[in-house]
Amino acid sequence: MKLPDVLEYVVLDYSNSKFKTTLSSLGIIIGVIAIVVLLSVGEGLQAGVSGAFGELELDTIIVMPGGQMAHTQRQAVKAPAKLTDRDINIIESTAGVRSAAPRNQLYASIQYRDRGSAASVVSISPTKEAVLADSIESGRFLMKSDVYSVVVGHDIAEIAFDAKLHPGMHLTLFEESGEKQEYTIVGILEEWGAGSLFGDPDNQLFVTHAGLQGLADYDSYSQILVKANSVENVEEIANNVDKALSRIHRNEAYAILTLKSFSEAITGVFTMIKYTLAGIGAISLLVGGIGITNVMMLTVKDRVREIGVMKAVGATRTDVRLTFLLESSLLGLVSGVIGIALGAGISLLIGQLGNFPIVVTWSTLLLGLAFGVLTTTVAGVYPANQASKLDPIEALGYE
Amino acid sequence: MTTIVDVVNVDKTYRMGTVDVPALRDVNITINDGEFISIMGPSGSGKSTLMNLIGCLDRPTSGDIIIRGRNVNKLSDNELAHLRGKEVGFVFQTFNLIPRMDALRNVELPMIYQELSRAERKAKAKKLLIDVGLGDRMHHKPMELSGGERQRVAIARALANDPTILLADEPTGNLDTKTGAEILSLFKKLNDDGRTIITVTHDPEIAGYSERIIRLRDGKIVGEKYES
Repeated sequence: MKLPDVLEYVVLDYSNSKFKTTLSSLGIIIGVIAIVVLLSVGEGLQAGVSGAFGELELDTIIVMPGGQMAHTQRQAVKAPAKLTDRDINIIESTAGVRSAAPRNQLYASIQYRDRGSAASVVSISPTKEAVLADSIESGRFLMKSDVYSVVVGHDIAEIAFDAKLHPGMHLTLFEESGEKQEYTIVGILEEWGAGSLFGDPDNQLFVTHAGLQGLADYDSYSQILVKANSVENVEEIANNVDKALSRIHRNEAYAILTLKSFSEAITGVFTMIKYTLAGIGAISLLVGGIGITNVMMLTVKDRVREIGVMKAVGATRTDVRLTFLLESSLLGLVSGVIGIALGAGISLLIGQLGNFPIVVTWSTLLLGLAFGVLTTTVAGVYPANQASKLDPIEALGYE
Repeated sequence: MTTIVDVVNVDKTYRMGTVDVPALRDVNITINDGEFISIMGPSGSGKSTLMNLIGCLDRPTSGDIIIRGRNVNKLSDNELAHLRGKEVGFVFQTFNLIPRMDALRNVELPMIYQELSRAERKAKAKKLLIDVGLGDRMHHKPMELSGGERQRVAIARALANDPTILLADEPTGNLDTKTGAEILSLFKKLNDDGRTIITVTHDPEIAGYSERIIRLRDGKIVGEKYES
């Protein structure tokens, strides 16, 4: 029996039992929709997280004083290292390092006219913060020579006070101990949306290190953000930095961490979540598949006599098996195509309505389709075998 | 005359639970090309079993059935199915047409399993339907046809692969006398054209058309008579 003839036979059967076929396809369609939607949501979550790290941050190595917790009681607790400009110089001369940007940070109350708010104030080296400098919305970024100038995060500028903040306005900052200092706004940052691991720039104020001295005395940095010259070698470069620093901080503690290892761990978690979601879809497919087996068994039972006729006029077991198997697979193919089309549509709709990151990829669609076809094919094996094994004499005498 | 079917020392036993039920015992028949044979006998005499064996729907428990020189016992299931499709055309009492398919497609079915091309099948099926007098009913489904018309479609289907033998099991059993007579004269015509026909029947009318009558009782041949 040639394949096109089997197909013709199968299609002929569809047109004769539309209702039954549609009903049995529903389980598969729903299963495929579930797989596509859940995978797309999973991909979206993952993309959202990776996006929050961003390409720019994966090459970042963070050096902090203090750091690792003592693993055992007996381990000596080292004093936290003081990170100073000397460390900056050492780090910047380490192989593979592009730049080292020191930061300090404190939490301060903000007063604008007679209104108050609070935010974290971050001191930076303006020339080493290219990413922040690139995200200025109005005004300008800090300059090396600035002292009591401040760049304001988007949300603080927009919603912290009754009036929107603009460059040229003055803010008074109060540190916990009571120190206060007036700053002039020189620039407003554009919206970052998702926060980064270094905090949430939308809700931060940025000043120069000299500027922060007006609120508190610092003789060291709380953080050094080191940029590696390649994402691939981040771990190796972090090791180089560690070696260089360990020479001058023999008995002091500092911590070095890379975002890459962190992001890989998180990506791993999201991959797991994604496949868990797809697993839920697979369960609905399984249920759909059992439904298909059931319907195919009924179809075989309905057509016992017909199978007898097929055999009497020369159909081999293989012909009969192929006919029923193909009928089942084709059901999966049609249901799968409908399922992925609806699944993609529903995913995009969820993304639109829920303002949620949704990523529909070709591989998700192919996977959905493949699972649909696979399920129905497997579901068809048993009924098709039963059909092929029928004894023609008994089948012909069947009422 | 050429021998086309040889039934040699055939026994057929069915197993019903733990009991062996003999259906045929030591049956020997030689069928020549162009014969019109009727197999007669009461219910349970083994005539349907004999027809199923000659039709390659079943294999003998012992003995040989040789069709055009090929021993049924030595063929695989798939080879047997192929031989059946090629050499045997069945006509059943209850027609056994496939209700979902129109007359044309029913006639095409045996040719699909012999892997004839689409164009070839369509042309042949049309010609066969015209030959049995259904040229204007080709696209009707079995439900839309009368009993006699259905049996004509079944005969056209049986002839599709130009088989060596036409096997008919009570072909007029579900038809009224007049229609039955028409179907019989169709068989007669086919036989006159050289087709070998074997019928299983109770009906002395059919037996009257045949050249040889084989009588079975309790699984044995009890009489063989040549009509003049």
